[in-house]
Amino acid sequence: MLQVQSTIYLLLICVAVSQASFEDLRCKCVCPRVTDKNSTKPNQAIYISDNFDPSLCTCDNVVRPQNPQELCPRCECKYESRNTSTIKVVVIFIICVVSLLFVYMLFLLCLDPLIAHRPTRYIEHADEEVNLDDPTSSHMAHVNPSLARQRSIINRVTNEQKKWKGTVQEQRRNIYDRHAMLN
Amino acid sequence: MAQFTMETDALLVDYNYMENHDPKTRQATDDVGNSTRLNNGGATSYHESVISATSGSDDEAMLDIAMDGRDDQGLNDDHVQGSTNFLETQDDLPVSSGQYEDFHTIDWLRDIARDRMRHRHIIKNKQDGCIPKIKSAHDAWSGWVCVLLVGVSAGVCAGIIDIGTTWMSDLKQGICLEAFWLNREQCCWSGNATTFDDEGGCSQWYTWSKLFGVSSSKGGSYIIGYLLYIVWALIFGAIAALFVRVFAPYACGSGIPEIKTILSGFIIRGYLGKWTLLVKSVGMMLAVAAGLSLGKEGPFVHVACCCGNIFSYLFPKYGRNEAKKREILSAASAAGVSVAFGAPIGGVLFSLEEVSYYFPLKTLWRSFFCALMAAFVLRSINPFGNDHLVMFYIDYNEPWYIQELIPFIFLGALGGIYGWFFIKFNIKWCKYRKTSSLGKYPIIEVLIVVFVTALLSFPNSYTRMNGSELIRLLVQRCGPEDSTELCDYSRNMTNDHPYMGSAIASDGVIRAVWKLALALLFKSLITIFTFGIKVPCGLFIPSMAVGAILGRVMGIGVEQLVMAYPNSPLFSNMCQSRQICTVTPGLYAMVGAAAALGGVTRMTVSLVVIMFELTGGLQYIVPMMAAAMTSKWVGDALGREGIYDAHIALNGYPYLDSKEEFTHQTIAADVMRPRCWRYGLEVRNDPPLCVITQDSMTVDEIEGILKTTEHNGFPVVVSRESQYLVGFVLRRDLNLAIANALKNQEGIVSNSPVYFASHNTHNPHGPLGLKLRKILDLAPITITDHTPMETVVEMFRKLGLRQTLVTHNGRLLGIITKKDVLRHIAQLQNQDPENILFN
Repeated sequence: MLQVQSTIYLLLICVAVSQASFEDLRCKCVCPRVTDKNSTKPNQAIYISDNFDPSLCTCDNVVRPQNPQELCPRCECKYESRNTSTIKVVVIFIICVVSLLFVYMLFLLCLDPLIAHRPTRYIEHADEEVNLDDPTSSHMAHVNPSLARQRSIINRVTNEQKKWKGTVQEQRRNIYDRHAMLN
Repeated sequence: MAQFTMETDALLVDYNYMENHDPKTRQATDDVGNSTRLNNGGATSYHESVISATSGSDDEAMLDIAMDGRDDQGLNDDHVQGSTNFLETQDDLPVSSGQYEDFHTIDWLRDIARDRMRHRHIIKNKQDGCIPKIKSAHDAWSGWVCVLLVGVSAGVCAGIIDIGTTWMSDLKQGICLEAFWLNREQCCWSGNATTFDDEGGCSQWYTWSKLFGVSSSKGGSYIIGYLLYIVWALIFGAIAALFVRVFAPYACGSGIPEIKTILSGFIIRGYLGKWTLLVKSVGMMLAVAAGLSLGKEGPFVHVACCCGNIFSYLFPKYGRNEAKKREILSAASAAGVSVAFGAPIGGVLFSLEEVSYYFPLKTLWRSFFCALMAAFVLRSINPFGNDHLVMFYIDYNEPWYIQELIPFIFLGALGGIYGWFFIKFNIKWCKYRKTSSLGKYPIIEVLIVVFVTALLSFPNSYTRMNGSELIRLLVQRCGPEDSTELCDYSRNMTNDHPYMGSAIASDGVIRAVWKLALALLFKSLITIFTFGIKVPCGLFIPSMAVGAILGRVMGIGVEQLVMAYPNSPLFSNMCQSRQICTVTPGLYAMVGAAAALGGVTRMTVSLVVIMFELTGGLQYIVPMMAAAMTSKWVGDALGREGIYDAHIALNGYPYLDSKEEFTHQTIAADVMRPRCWRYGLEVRNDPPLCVITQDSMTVDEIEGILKTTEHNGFPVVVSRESQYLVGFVLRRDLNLAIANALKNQEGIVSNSPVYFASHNTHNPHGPLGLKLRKILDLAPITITDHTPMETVVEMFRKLGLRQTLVTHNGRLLGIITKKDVLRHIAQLQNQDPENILFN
């Protein structure tokens, strides 16, 4: 129930939010706070504008004070740029890498032990089928070059993976069991 | 396909590489053997062999051509004697395969000699035409290309990690709904409608409580924020710890102690591999995002070194020679610090002062180039959107006054005391973890630390933000744009420049000081337990944060003192007219950060240069130097070693520190194995020295020795009675040579005699002899038994020896290995010598 509610909220917010722009350029002016006569709290000091023209990045254009002669000499305006598309690409890349690693880790932790335990029986079964079946299996047995290549690639990959697992096992033994390194 | 025409009699095939299970490669080995044998049978004085080798991957790497160390004289000599009916095939064995086993020390002299031979060979071939000329040119510039690639990749890695870390850290508190890839600061970067709320958020930034629609009640939103903060922290921490455990256990820790050990000439296979790079980069982001009190700056060195190692394999000159590879790694570690602090020169000095062991001038140039490239690439990525390479930097230019040196020096002393305190208790805790059952639950430990950190750090706004942000806040000057409580001064707004100079603190500053004091206590304690848990963790940022808090608090104190007595003669030059006094608490924070970092790591020059590059001017170099020097002096007075050396000692890595002096009056005979000679029968159950005679042993006997012992090399003597030294042969070479001869060479049986001598006393009736002179190192470093250990230690340090032989009146007496030297030093320092684990 709560979940549904929160999803609705989420949707609502998504719809409700106006399309605010995330520009790559800005003009930022920092001025001393001017205290109004009435309020005790000083008001805004930072003025940001989406001006794309660096020449327009001045206090007069951005802050638009009532008395420019007084305020503007004390303001500092800076034209700044950033690259949101780089950030976007990098963050999406990171999410992909982390989720891939996570899925692979789940595979190694959960499925792999199951697969590793099964093969003895599984292979026996397959052998029997080969003996029983007639033409299709013999066809399969005949060397299909592309299939053989595929198999050799798979073999190589499994070999590599086995080797890698061995080294990780060894590293784990060094660090977690024997505490010989990286304490 | 690689094709080499050779005019020397030394044809060296890298058997180690050949051992890899490629059947094609095996075929190639056999071909090599055959062609050589044929040619050797002929009466030509120089063998000409054409080797064609086909290998799957890198042909260049397959054949490692080198020449034997002998000069022409020796070659002719050999030929004259060898032109009997004797088979010389085994003359053509590798001098050294250049490969070492895991956890072995490298022999610098041997590796550098191998490189020189390779170089000589290329120079010699240069005249032969166009292709060798191109090859020689490629060889000449490969070092620069390699460091260029390393620099670029280190910069890219750092950029990705920087962006990812800030994004993930902010994910704990909220999300930028319209552009989820932006962190809070970037989310509120643009837009004229931007208004900031209390926590620096804006309308586009949704905190979790706001997203779940509980922003109305203040208490509810706090609780939701708190809970989600802890949950996210636990998720990030758990993923980081699991990744490290499942994919690359070597990715945990800071990595600098291990890099130091590796650069001093030690092999840790897989420590600088691809998986370590990937998991360390990802783990760093996750660990920092989990809010742990650790930084990503230290591990950048490890990441850059991984890049260095991976790229060095593109260039066989570096990839296949461990001593040369370390030149690239030195440059890479400079690039690591360069991207961590945006300080290329500081990086080079860090590499020189702290990490590197062998640092020729050539490497200095390359390190500088590498560090600059890395900084340039990172600058182009602009990860923080502030045109700087780091989050925290100083962009103001306030003056400082001579009296302020007193608080700066005091800060330095406090930094030194903090460093000593941190090292002492961190090492104690790590020792406890190593020996007790706590070490059996690494992931649970990480989760507990994450939970405690998150639980305690959320209530305090200064610990809630991550370390870099905290430092940025603390080193900043209070300007008009700051509305935080740290900048809550009662300023006279009617002045022309109300933000110039100091002011009297209001309540906000007092509150901030209290919070900072609590943050200081919390950070300094939790870092002790955090550094060393099994996730990637560096300690530059936490120590700097502690120092910065200390500095800021002290800065505020001095500021208020000066403001309270502006007319006192002590402060008269600090205050200009109309009571405008200039004390910048932000500068104190920076000085404090330098002091604490100096106290923990005991860096000096590199630290000051890093700080000077962070502050962007020479103006503050004197305060930094004063603090860094005091911190080092105080730290050294309290405890001898820095955190990295302490961790090296804790782990028992075979690191021969070149900074420490050896002052004991022992001599070589006290250290060498076997030790029976000096003390007679008293000291002894040491087995006698295991030697090989030059011409009276059979293949069987040698195989027996190889089976029963575990030494990495054997001295070769004229005979057991005389014990006159001939040379030194490595176990690995011996193994390969014998196995190869038994397999490929006809007539070699188990009772064939083995000859290391240049003259052949061949018995025509017996079985064919096996000639192994090629694998014999005829110029091993020897010392006499009365050589003082000071000299021996210097030789080991400066020449990078792996072992030296001890002689007496020209007779072989014993052997000293690097491990023996390390054990001896440990013993003299009243440490447990058995702590040094590796070979």
